[in-house]
Amino acid sequence: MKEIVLYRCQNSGGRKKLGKLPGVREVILGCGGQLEAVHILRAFEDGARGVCVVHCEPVRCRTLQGSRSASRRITYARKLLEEIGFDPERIRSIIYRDGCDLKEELSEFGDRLAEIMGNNRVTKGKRK
Amino acid sequence: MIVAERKPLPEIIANLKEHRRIIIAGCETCVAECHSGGQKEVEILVSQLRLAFKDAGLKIEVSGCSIERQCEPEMIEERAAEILKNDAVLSLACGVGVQEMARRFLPLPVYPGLNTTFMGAHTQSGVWEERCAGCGDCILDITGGICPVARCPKNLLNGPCGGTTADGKCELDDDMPCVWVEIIERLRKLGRERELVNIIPAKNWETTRDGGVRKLIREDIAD
Repeated sequence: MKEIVLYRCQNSGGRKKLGKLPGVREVILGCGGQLEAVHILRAFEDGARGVCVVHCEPVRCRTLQGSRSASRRITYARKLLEEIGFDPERIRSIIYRDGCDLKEELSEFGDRLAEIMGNNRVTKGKRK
Repeated sequence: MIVAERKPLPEIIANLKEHRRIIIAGCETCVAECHSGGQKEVEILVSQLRLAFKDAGLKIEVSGCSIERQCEPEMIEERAAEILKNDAVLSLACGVGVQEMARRFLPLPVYPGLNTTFMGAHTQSGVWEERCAGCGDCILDITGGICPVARCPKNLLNGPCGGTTADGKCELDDDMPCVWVEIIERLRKLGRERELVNIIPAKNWETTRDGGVRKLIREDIAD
């Protein structure tokens, strides 16, 4: 399992995959609104250290409500993680804007995960 | 519909942690409509529990299934073989469904995963409100289709108390409209406001649940 699972709306950075990103498994969504909380939980079940969701600015969402739905489900998934003692920061939400450097954002997220969890893959990354 | 909400996770885990193979059973009718116990909620809870048990070093297998209506024995039976492979069941149904499951699968323990809260309606996205108290003596014909038994905190049957605010809210909660203001407005719209002078007699509370378990027997159907 890759360290980070990236769920990305096809309208946030294009339909093509971002290219080789070490430790990242990228899943392209038709719309951020297709994401469900259970998709995020299953990524953790499969061993991911973190989940990153990239979706559009709400005012630019082509399906009108998709980006807002994604935001609500990310908030819900963080609450579900907290319930089982996992650090909610293991879910990162990125609103895609022109000029956004996703590779840089993912690299920073990877560093943050290392801070939260250290080198232990099993640890929960408890809140500090 | 019957509205319910999920129990706190520690309470669920406390019931399940001594078992080795558990199944979470959803109910696809009322509690699916209020997003508490349908297939989606089963999948989320299965995933959450797997993560929690693994993290706690507990070797507990968790699976999920969904039943159209847990209050109907025939529909429970469709999933019986799958459920019987487990040593405990967590039911995401209302209290009726949990009891029917517990009766069917005895001696298999069946635990409730939800707190059943009320009979209500979906009033806006993500919001459900109580609408019926199941009092057994319906007066909706008199009150223009709005129930003061379920919606007035004081169950008043003949107009508002003295505590209604100037903007028509209940004195107990600024966000809650006074149901008698709503009833008066409704009767006005129906051209029936003159009926408001009629006194509704004292309610027969014998039909509520204070007398124990209520039963409905249809003699044209029952043996």
